[in-house]
Amino acid sequence: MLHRLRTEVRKVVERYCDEPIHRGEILRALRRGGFAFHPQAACRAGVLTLQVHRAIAGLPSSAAIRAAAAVELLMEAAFIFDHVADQEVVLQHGLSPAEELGLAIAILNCGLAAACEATHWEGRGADGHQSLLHLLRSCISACTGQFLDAYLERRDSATAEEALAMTSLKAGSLGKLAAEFGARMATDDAETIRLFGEFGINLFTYLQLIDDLRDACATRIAQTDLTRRKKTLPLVFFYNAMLQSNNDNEAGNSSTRLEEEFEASGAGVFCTIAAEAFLNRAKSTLADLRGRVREVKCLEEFIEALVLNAEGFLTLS
Amino acid sequence: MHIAELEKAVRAVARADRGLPVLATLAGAQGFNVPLPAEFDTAAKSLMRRLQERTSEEGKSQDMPPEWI
Repeated sequence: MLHRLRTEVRKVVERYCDEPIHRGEILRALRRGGFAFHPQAACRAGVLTLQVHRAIAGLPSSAAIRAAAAVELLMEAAFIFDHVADQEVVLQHGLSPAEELGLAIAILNCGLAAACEATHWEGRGADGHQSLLHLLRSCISACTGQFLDAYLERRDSATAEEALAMTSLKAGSLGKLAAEFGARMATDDAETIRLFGEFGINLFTYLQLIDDLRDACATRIAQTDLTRRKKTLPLVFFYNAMLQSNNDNEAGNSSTRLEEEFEASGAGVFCTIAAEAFLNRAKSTLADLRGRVREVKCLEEFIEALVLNAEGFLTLS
Repeated sequence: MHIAELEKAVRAVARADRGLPVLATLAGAQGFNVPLPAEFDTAAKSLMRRLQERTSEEGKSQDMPPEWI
């Protein structure tokens, strides 16, 4: 499944990016760690689209594979934008932020082109048009989350509600996009599509919260995130705890001391319980889908693998 | 989701400094009754259960930061 997805992603890029230099840079970017062509990449978004389609319709059609490639490309574009926003790419890959953004926009449009093809191949007519509009709406919600991420970072403080709303928009919208598009490619049943949208939001919000916690605890990134006062949920909890204890002088603290204070603040437990609540919501939605679709086992196994992977980061960090 | 309620509860337990693990206390495993919204109460318990199962299955407790369990 992963091999077919990656092959399809490559085909889309080669089909729509004519200029060799541009195409070459895009394909090179997709081989970076965490990106689609990296040997260890899980391609979570594209695989989620395929698994949802499989749960409803069985073996994936060519259109479903193209739909999954579309979703994966949209996700990859978001990754590149995120790295530029976090200032993690400057000179790291030999490209300027402007060049990186140029790649992200091209990849985004490759994804949208592939989505158009997928709905056309599926022969969904007016329904296909609606599928694309819903896909775009979720894309815009994810962009709202990205904007709020940068907006909150500029502020001195944020509440846990604001951090959680930003996380759910930024990551949850991408999960909704992936699951809902897979469902729309396989069924017209509005309730099934709605439930899969909820499932995607909750599953990807869970994953983002665990990622945020991993990044907060990782020594290399903790320095960056703490000193930049990123407003992820665990760090907002930590900053606010420090403010309440009149200990807001982290600029003068060593990174080791900050990590110890972070651990002692309860931020890890706070973020993990919040994440677990989203995971439980996703599992509950999956239970509601049982009987409405052919099978949910493939999605249960998908969740199980994601959770094991996510918590592996936690226990080893 | 009443995230502010969870924030208050975790902060209260972390500050109490009874020398007890925060998650276990929130999950009610330490004999303390910490009021949590139902969704977070369920989450604390399911998380606690999964970590305990994995600890006993894989013997990884030494790898976990102590505050988790």
